[in-house]
Amino acid sequence: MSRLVPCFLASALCWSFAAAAEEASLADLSLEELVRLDVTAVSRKAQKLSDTPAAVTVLSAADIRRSGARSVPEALREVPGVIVSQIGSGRWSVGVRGGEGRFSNKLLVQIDGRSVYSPLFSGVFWEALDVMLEDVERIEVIRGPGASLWGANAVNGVINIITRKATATPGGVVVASVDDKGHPSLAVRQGIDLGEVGALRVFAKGSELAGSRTRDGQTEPDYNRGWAGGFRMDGAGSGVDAWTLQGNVNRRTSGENINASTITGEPALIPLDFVFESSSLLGRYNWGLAGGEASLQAYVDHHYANVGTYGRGTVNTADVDFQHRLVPSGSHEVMWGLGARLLETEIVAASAVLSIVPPKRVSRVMSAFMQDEITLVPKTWKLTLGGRFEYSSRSHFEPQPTARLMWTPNLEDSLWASWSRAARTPSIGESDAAILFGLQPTPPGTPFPAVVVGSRPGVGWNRRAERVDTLELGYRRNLGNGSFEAVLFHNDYHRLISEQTDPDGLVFPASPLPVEPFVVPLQYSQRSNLGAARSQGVELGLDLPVTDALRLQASYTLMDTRARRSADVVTNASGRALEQSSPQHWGTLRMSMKLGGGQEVDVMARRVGTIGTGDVPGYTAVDFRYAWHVSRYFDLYFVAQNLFDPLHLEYVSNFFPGQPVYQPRRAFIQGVWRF
Amino acid sequence: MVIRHLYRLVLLLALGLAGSPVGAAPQPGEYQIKAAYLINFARYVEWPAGRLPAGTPLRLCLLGRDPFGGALLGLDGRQVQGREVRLRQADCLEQALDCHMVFVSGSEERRMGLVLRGLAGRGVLTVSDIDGFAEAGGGIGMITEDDRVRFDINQATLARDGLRASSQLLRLGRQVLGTERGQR
Repeated sequence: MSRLVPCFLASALCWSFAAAAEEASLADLSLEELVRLDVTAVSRKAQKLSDTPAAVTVLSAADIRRSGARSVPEALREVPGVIVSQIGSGRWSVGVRGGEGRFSNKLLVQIDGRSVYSPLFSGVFWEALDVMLEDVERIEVIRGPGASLWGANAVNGVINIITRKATATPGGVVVASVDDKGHPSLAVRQGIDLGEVGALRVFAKGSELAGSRTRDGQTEPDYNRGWAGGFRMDGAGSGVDAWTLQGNVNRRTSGENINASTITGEPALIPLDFVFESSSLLGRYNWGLAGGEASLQAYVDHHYANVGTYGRGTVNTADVDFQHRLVPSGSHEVMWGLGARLLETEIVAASAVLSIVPPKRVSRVMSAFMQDEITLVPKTWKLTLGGRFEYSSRSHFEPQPTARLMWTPNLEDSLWASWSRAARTPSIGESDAAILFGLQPTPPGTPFPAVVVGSRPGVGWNRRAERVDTLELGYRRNLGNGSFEAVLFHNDYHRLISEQTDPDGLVFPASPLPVEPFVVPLQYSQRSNLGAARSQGVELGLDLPVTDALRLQASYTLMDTRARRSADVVTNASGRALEQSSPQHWGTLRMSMKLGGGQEVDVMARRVGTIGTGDVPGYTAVDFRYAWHVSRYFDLYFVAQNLFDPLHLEYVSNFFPGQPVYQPRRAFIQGVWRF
Repeated sequence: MVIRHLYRLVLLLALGLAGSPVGAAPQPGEYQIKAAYLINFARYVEWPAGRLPAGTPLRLCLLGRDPFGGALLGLDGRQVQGREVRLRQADCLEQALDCHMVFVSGSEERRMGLVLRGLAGRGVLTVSDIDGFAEAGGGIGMITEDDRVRFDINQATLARDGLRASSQLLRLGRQVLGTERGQR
């Protein structure tokens, strides 16, 4: 009893400032009245973040719904520091703090703890990802290195997609939508009560996505269609021990064109058709261990991708992860964990464009992490020290430490500063592949009209991972039902994989050519990890309930990336490509209005600056959403995108020379039935 | 506070909404409603007599950072079922052990499992608005849905801790998880 006394005094002090009179009447209401009472200002969960010493944004199910998103990337648009650009039909470029691209290789994405980051090309195949958004509980976006907790490749950020427990989705849901060009989408989910065992839900969805347009707005040069299915089973929520078992299968096909030119210099389009297939099975068990809480998770995952007649790749993953949160002792709260991953990859290249040696690889990753949250001064100063030690058979031992200091002088303000180091393991493609990009004309007077250019690992290819050191300074203010956030960051990248001139010069024997001089030599550039870059920026986020019926949310990011210059023109070119892969500023403004009668309107405007890669001009796009909550059994949505803009370009694939495609004005109507 | 009002004023003017009737009738905020729920939970849940003898004060504790912005203060000293409600801030799990009702603040989300384990079987009614609280084994989880605050009850958790929810509470809950069968 006695040790509780100081705690009681402290609370009396802290509460004595606030007034209490007006709450009295509400507390007299009965349960029946409370259940029917409308809340005016729903607070976003700013409080729960207020003592997190990192730039974290949590998108709730309501945020996702109100964004009008039908895919994960669309829902991420409103997060400061995150730049989302549509490359084409179902193809997205999602970057956090720069380094954007078809494969944003410094961003880790996980669904319920399962990584969907492909080790083949270091990135996420967004066009193959099909998530049942209606069953997503939240999406956590962590900007900055998350490596100490999440492991390698969480260099610029981590996106965690967390689905609801099966016990929370007891009923049936049917979501059907159709867009202005007739592309349909249908998703069905059914929850099944398993009594004392727990609950199960099964889902299936199929969709055909809208195509993009060519520059003249006339034809649809790409497509994306497919289906997904899966289940999730959770133990009954009575005990504190919990388990989950989930599985997914999915198949999507997508097509696009790549730009090529013939030897005579005429432009040509080569169609590429992709088939993606994946399946996974994951289990997790949480139990009490030594007064604390432990979780053991294991999953297997199979991915297959086929690229027309050019090649195919398979990735099989087996992953085991153990975490233990110890019972807090004194001012320390310790968490530690161990992980092991086995990766089996195979790439079969059926053309000379790509060759991978060896085609088959087995790699192993072992890791251990520990984090200590130390309360220096109760309620005011907190220091978090953490580190992950990772060994990959394809790289070296990579220590990834972090130190975060947080100051919360009162309930409204929090300020943090952090330093972290993170690593990105080179992808199979980067370490093993030789890629031919195609013919490039040479200046007049040279003996060959053109050379075939390509890229391959340098002689001195170093297996060390890319490394970043990040400094971050953040401020968060709780504005009652709203919040304001400002984060400054500075990234220092080392050992970046970049290209450099091959000292061997032109390579013979050369490729055959149908016209004189009948052969052309090969000009390789070497891949090495000699690149370095710095980036810095500021991210601002504001969430403000203006009136009871109107809420404003704004985000703005300003950033700059500079690659280190070198005497080598090829290195400089790859440095420039990195600098220009992202816009230097972008922002969003969203107005959410309640019209009464269960109707709501959302208007979101976003402004994106110019992107150097592919000469993408800046653009402003306005999206509109109308929702009518007709009854507890039925919702109706109408969404119009790019309202004031007939056509715009958002991104040009920087992975291979994809045909630039444009996004037109679009609309869709969606019904959600619950039973 | 001043800054907050200034923000609103500037925005109201900018949007030309200053004169609109929208803000005319002030309605309760989310946490004022949640505070009112807490007193009702105290009203409709029965603790074992050994844990909470008749006439003794009911200790309502807040674990973690206070999201109520003063709304809880109105509950301190109120009479419920012939007993006085005493409010207390718990800074750590140990300090919450002898409370009768614990509101687990969103700031504790990462430690939720630990907290629920620590309070299990001790006759403590756990309440929170953390997503999935009741499903994770919490007693009562509050959910804001369609602009209304609703609640889920985990009957199995309550039964384990010797707590009895009245039929009225169960009837008004959005979801009642777990059955009492086989739990006692």
